[in-house]
Amino acid sequence: MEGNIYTDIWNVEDKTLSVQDGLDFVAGSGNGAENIFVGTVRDNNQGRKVIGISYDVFEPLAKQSFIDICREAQNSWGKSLNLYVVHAKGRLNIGGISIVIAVGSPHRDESFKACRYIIEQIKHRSPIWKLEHYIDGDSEWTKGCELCDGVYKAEQ
Amino acid sequence: MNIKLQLFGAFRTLGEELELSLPDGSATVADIRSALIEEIRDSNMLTVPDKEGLVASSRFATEEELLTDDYTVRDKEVIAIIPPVAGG
Repeated sequence: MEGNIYTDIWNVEDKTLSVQDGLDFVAGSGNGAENIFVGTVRDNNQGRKVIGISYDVFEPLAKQSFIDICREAQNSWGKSLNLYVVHAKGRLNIGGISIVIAVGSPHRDESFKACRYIIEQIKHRSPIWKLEHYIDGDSEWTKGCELCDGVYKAEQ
Repeated sequence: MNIKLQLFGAFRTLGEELELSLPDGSATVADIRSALIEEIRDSNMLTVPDKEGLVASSRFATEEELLTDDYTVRDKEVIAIIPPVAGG
C-alpha cells in the first residue's frame, strides 16, 4: 500500500511547527518505526551571537521540491513510507522550530535513512533562505548552496 | 518586452520584485541575467560584497521548475531569482 505524504510551509506568525502533528500524520498500523528530525534556531553562527532567523521561501517551488524529495525517498526505501515535511516561513527566535520531518516505516533502517536523505536534499535543493539577526543589531543573509542540475543520489 | 522578476534572499534589499526590460523578439534567461547585472551595477541597495558574483551563482525559476539559461521567456511571465539556498 502506498504511504501518505504531507508537505507544507507554515507562516510562523500564524502557527507553530509541531512534532506531534508530524507523528500523528505518519502513524500507521504497518509502522515498526517512526523517525523525527527537528531543525531549531541556534544562538550562534561562525562566531557571532544570533538572536533570531527570518526564513524567506519561494513557496510554490519549495512545496514542489518537498513532494519530489519525498517521492524519491519512497522510491529508494519503500512506497509504504508515510512522510511529513513542514518548513517555517517568517521570523523565529532562538530555539524556534524551522522544520519538522517525520517518517513512518515498517522497519527502523529505512526510517533513519529516509529522514536523513530528506533533510540533506532540502538543504541542497529547496528555495529557502535565512536572514540571521545578530545581538549587535545587524542582519545578514547566510551563505547558501548554489543550485545545480544534478540531483543528489540516494545512498542505499 | 518586460518581465517581473520575483526577488528572494539577498536580492530582497531591492524590494519584492523588479521590472526588467528585455530585448523585443526572443529573450532568454541569459538576457534576464544581463539585464539584472545592468540594473544593480550602480545600485547601492544591494549590500553584498560581490553583486555580479551573486547573480552569476543564482538560478532562475518559474513556480514549477528551475530554468536553464537558454529558456525562452514569454512577455509578462513571472520569473523568480534563486540565489544560493539555505533552508532546513
